[in-house]
Amino acid sequence: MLQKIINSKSKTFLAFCFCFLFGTAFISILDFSFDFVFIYFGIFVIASFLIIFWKNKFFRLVSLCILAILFAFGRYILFLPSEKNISNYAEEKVRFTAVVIQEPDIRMDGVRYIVDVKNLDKGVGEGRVYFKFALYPRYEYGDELDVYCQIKKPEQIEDFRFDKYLALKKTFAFCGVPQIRKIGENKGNFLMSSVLIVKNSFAQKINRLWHEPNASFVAGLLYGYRGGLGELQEDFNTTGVTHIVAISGYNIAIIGAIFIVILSFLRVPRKKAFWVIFSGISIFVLFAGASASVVRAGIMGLLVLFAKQLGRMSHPINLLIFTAVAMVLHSPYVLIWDAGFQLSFVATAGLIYLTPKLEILTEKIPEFFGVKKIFLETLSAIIATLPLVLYHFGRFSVVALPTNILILWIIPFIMLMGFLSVVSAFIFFPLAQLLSWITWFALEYVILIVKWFADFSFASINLSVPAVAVVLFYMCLIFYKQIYNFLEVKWLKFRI
Amino acid sequence: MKKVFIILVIILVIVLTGLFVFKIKNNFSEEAKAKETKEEVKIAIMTATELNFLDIGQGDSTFIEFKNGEQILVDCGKDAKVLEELGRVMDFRDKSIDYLIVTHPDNDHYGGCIDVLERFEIANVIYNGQQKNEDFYNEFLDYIEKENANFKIIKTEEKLDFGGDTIDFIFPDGGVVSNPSDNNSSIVFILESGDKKALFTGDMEEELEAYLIAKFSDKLDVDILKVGHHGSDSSSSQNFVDIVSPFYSVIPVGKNKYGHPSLRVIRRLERLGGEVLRTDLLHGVKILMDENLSMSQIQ
Repeated sequence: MLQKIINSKSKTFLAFCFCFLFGTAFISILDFSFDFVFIYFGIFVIASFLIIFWKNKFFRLVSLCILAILFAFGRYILFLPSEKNISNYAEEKVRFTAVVIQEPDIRMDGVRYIVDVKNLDKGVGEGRVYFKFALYPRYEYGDELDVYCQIKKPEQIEDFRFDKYLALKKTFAFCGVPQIRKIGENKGNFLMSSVLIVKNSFAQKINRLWHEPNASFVAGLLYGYRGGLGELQEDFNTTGVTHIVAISGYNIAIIGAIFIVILSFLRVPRKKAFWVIFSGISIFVLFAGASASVVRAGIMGLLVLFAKQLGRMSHPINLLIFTAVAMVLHSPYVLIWDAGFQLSFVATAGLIYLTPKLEILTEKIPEFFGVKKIFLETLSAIIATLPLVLYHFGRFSVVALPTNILILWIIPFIMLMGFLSVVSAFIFFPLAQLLSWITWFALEYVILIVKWFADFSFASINLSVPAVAVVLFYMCLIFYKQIYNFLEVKWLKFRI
Repeated sequence: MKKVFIILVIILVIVLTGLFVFKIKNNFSEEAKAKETKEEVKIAIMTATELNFLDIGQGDSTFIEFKNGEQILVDCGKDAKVLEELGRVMDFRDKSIDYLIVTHPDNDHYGGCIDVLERFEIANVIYNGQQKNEDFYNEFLDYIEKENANFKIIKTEEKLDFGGDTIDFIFPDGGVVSNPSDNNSSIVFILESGDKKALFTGDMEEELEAYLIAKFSDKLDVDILKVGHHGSDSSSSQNFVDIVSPFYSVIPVGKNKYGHPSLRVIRRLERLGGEVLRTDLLHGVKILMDENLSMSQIQ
């Protein structure tokens, strides 16, 4: 096996990626830091080794791996807050001006803002600050605020790694109770501002068309907002269908599939169709806020789509790992601390690799109105994500499979009808109302099913597994062939 | 081809229905339009006026639907949770409310009002007139202006009619209470439907209770009491409770750090022989103002 890796260039590259991810995981878990000089030094030493032993393939591989790990360390350390970061003023009352740098996270009980500090009264300070504020007055992306508050450093709150949650957003400080005054606007990125303006007008139409929680449900399906789901969120969690309201590869794949239907109807050739779908999904990703998780969903959705529909890809796993590396390069924290990141990767891998295997196993069972397809896909996603779900959320939804089968078929319809309702609301409101009522029935159907299943006392059981079990499980899943062969050999020997 | 055909038919039907609706809307004159909406309302006529005490957490919000279909929202709770609860009690096509009554500008009573104004078409806003020096309050006024709603401040006793049912505002009436706190400036009103009455108290405390007893003691005997200030023991004095003697006492309350509702108040109300209903335990209370005052949980 080692020979294979050494002799194949793409496999060497894969090993390099793996080492990078391993290095990031290692430093994230142990959470240590050292001076950047050591990284320079290390890279220098390894690079010289590499040049000296370039002919020796084994040494070359090993030094490349160490190099990758060093890169990972370096990236991680660069991501840590700098000496000038505002978190150094922890427990001090400060006044600063800052710009809202991310789309405000509006929930039922208030709004969460992340601002980028521009000027600090006490001296030098930079970086981002997170704070929760009342629902109104509401500030927009790009607004410049004058903030007076006590800076705090995030810490773990019971089981919730609040510090890591903020670190994912490159934020290392938060405010106690802030006093805020708006002093300017339009200080953000122009493209982002315009996207958010479109998105907000969309949200406004949605809010006018449906009551809560249906409004948030539609918004969740269309662009991943779920701040107003309220009690429904809990039911979604219990029945294991939350993935439909988070922008995941799943939603993207649906949009792609709708595109494919339209394009094949219009007889667009395949190669062109690819670019149309690609740009369509890019626009959607932009519209949904283009956050790291949405971009990831876009890539995952395209992967699944093309793996299944537009001809086979030779090595989707390479692309998958390459995407992971790119995302980790962007923000090293996601690898260990972002459950969504991990789940979307294993779910995608499950859909690409596990579904065909299950299809072979169930060859004899006939397809019945697409139920079998949904069944197999749900099952493979559940199998692939199970240990991670148990590890992160400590519970397992018993009813996830039947609930998903009963509702997934109608989701594309809701997405399409919801989208049409909102678009027509801009043109002619009564028509939008009419469409929204049709959508409402479909939404109620989903809610009815979800509530019905969530009502069972056994709908979800609490079960937590340690991280080691998670790793073991995936090892078994990846190397099942080797394990199978190994067991067979043993077993045969035993018989002889 | 079959699929294409079906899709085309669906699109055709939708377009036709849209055009149909458009035509109906245009054909009717203003008057006929008014008639039309009235008729629509009649379909939804209920047997009795309906009080929905919403479970919006620690705060206060009541949705009232009269026999004739007119709707009132009294207070909006502390945040956007009220939207979800309104979704539970309102028809899915209904995105308008006739009256929004804000009893007083405390966060747990008007914190959700901007969201309500933003999402619903509100025709009238009734307010107790109290000025407040906070950003939220200014924003609240802005939104009312944006909504183009009639804005009315209760200054003297007055009555509104809702198809035979009445709402009688008994406070603020221009009089002075011994302890003029924020809570004691709440709008207080009596809703009368048939021979049944309900008293809405906002966050009224003992001083205002004493004032109202002195002024309207004959009016205050009602069947349903929205218990003042979330069942705090600064409200619902023995004297007041004796005079009101409600059949149902509804306490709008949620998880809180103030010790609401006070056990003493609950016992006081129960000793009268009536039933005490808590919005948090029942997850919303619905009372029909019919002969036997049927009560149920909000579904």
